[in-house]
Amino acid sequence: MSCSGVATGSRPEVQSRAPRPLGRVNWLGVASLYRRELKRFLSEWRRTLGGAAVSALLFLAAFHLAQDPAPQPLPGVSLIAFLIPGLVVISIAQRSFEAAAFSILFDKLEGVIVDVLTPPLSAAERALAYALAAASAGLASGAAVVLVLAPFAAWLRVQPVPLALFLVMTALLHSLLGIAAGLWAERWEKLAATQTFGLAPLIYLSGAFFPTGDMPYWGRLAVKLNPAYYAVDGLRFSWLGQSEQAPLLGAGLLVLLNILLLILAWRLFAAGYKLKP
Amino acid sequence: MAVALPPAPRPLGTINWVGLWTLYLKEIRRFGKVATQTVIAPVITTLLFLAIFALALGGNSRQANGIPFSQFLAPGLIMMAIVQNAFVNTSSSILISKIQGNIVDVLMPPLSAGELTLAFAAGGVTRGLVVGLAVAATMALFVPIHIVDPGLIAFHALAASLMLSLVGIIAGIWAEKFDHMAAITNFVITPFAFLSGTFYSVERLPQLWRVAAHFDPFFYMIDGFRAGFIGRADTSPYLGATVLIGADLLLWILAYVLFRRGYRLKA
Repeated sequence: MSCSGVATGSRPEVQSRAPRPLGRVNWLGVASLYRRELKRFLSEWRRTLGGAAVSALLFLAAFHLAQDPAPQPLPGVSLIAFLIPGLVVISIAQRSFEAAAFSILFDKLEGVIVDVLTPPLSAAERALAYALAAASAGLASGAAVVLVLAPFAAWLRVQPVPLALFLVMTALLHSLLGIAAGLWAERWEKLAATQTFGLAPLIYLSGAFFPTGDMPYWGRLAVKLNPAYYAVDGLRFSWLGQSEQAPLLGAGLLVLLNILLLILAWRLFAAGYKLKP
Repeated sequence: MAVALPPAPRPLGTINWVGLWTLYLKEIRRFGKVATQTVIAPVITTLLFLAIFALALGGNSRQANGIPFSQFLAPGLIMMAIVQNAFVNTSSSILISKIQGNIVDVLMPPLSAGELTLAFAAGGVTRGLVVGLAVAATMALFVPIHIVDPGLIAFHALAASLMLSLVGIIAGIWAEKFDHMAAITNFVITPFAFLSGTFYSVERLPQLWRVAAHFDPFFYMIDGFRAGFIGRADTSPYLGATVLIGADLLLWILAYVLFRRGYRLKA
């Protein structure tokens, strides 16, 4: 700045008052927004993590009691072991989506979204901080489900690296969808509609509960267009060593989709879509 | 000299019918205004459940209690939608009013505790039945639904929606935050609804759990309601009816007493 020549040591306080140089990426800003978002989630962890765990256990119990005779969805895999990766994906997807969307819509309705819009954060930094925070919330929820279902799962063929990749991709994907939904909705009813009519069919009909070979013809076609299908299938590959699709295809598609959605979220923030007059 | 008197208050009579009707209408309009969220959303959710359970456990050859699995499942899912929506209607109405501070609009008018209980409960019953009808009509497109005993169906739909409306009133009065309500829904209502025989015949349960099921009012409502569609039940319909009427009566008295005392409603 122009005052740098004056402040040669006699008035060091001028330097301290200058704005913090931000550099190319405002890491401190991203970290602050990330922390704020995560605190929000942590403040109600009992309800969110407990709810996810109970709901996964209920699904497992209902399927366990209702299976007669026991179907074998994949060769050598019991129904329960087959269901667990699907239940983990569902809990991650629901929590990530909700964490991002609720937070943005709540701030819009309360009029405090300016707290996020006025600091020196670029659109990409905002998108990144929201997505990472919501994805962390989703992964925490997935971890809670894994924890309570661990005694019933098959652990012999777990491959940690693909497992981590598919979990993170799933969480990120639904966080980004949640950001888009939170920006688009102006009322709670609209957001609830995206969940009931968009997210729920996507995740419940992803093959989380049944092999897609059992679906009617049009269902088999539709499921191939469902990103959650590749998340469930990929997670099943990393967990059980068996899947319907090539895991590389699923991983590639998920990475590509995440990049596209990240660009979308970035452009929406940059345009101030439904955020700025 | 004729003095201009202020108009005398409307004589209320034994029961304040106008007040009762007005509060009932308010409860109906509350959910009617957002019908996408309150009626169509449960229809979609229930259809999704039908799809996943039928696809995972169905197969055309698969039978439960001697009938195709999807026909066994459908009545239970309809009942689940009825009770969940009856519960949500009363509990959310009271809790939101308390949090927004407009519960006084219900407490100030000349409505007795009995009239409050009746109007709220009737609102919940109406929502439950409307959703139940919508779900049944949509499901009939995918699963053959036969009506064997309309009386049994009507009785159980009514008794069950009344029961959960009353539970919703009590929960709405008790809860102070949305977190409390979410906890009741997650940890009480959903587990009961899920594990009470919607997805399987309790005859398949181990002895201990079968006995436990007979202490669960949700089991009787699902079992009796389903009997109206498939013509056979896991337990005696008279026992079920007695349990449901007894539970409704007890819950009614509890809700009445809470309104009467103003528990967590009045300072």
